[in-house]
Amino acid sequence: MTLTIDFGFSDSSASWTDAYLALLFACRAQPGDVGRASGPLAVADASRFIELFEMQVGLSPLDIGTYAEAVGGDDPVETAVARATEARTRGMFPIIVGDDRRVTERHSAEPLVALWGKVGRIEADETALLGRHPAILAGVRAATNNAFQAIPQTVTIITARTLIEQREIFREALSRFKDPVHLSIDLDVLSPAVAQTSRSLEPGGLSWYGLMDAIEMVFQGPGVAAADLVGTGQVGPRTPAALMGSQVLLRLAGLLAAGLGG
Amino acid sequence: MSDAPANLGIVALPFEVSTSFRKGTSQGPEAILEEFDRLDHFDFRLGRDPFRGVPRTIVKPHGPEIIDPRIEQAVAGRVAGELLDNGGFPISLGGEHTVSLGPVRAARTRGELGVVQLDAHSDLRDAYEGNPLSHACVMRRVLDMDCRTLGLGIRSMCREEADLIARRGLDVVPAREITAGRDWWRLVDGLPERVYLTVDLDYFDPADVPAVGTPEPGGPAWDETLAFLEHLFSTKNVVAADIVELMPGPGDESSLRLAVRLLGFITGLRFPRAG
Repeated sequence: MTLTIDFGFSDSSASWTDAYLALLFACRAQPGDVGRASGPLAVADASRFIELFEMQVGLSPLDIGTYAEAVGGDDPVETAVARATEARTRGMFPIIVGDDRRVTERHSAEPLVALWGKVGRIEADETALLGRHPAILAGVRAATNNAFQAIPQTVTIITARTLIEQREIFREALSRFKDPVHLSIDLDVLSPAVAQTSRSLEPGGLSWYGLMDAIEMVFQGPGVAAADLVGTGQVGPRTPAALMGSQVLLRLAGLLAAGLGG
Repeated sequence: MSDAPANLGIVALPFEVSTSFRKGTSQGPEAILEEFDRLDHFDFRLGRDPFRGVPRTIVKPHGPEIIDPRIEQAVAGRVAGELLDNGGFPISLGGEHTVSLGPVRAARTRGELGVVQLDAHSDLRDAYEGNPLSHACVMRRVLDMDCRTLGLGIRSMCREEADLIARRGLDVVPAREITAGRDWWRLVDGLPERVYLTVDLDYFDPADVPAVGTPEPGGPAWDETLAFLEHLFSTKNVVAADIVELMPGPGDESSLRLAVRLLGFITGLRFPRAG
């Protein structure tokens, strides 16, 4: 099941054939749920209420052609990943928006930069995911004991506090990547003061501009081959957190529009 | 800065038609006035109770049943005009942001006027969804009144608005620059002596004010805003003001409290020798 989304305020989306950015919302919801459903579809719905103009770069995501689609079915993540793979073969840049990190687990094919607030084994085998390719785990501030001990030693861990206070350490870690990376952003990397995106809130996350700067550093460093936005599973419809999710997508699109992508 | 006005007029304007993402701003004025009655008003920054010794009237010229913005603006404008003519200082409480238009017009017809806008959105669309009197167009309509404007804390706009800002050389300070320093304070110098202050509460960071219709991340904070307001009121004759777009609801008491404290701080700045 697919549903073409009217992604954004009063603007219209580009088609699959002429877009550069493919936004794929892996949804359990049905098409009629737009405006009511939680999770990725709530983020998609909220995008109709933000201005699709990126002030920092002075461009709109529509400048590069943005195609948005809600992907459903029995296994929406699998379907979204297949669609993202197709997008990449067409020279497009895919971003999957998903409930949780199963999206990253199945979508990432390059070295990984994970902007995650927590690490566990709840949704995906995250430690295995982190060990699959060279990886940076940044913004983290909580983990289950087992998960933390199981993180491979090859993973560069940069805590939220370090990312906030010593961002050059993050820049230095990024400089070791020579090729574009897979960027995974979990909304839980943000401080709960910025967005309350789950029922398991951890204090001490990134500010809004802290996250924006971190994303920009990845684009300006190794570049980004593909991305996902996860941790939206408990984001309700018409909530500030849904708007924050849309704003993250807008920033990603703005950086792509500015030509900073990999 | 001019002499203090004779009295304070708090004008409740619970008008809401064009808000889009979430609704509820029509309940803003009543919630603010109820909280106003509950609170002590001593302000540590001012060092006094800003309302003490200030003659004040509370005016409720219409209820939420009005749905025609032209009628709303006429009614609100008449009330603001009467307050101004009697030497008063009107502070309007919204309601959606379009409630500013009546009072701004009332102030503009009485002399040259600058408008300082604290807002997350530039609100400069010529029309939104075909409606030129949408909350997304309020500052465009202010420009139509030949007012010089200064937009502060802006972090969301469409291309049409960005083009207008560039073409007309409008003064707009993005939210991040507000926090980065005070160089932008000099933009106040370019405004006329008489100034109208409009505060859309979504100007503030949603961490401080979550109860707004369309929250935008990355807004300025409370103390840096008060510091600017002190500068504004000390250098210009602020003739009227409004606080709009509060969307009160359970669990969002911090937003309501901030709105009342802002009402008090503005009053304190405008009536410096009271108390």
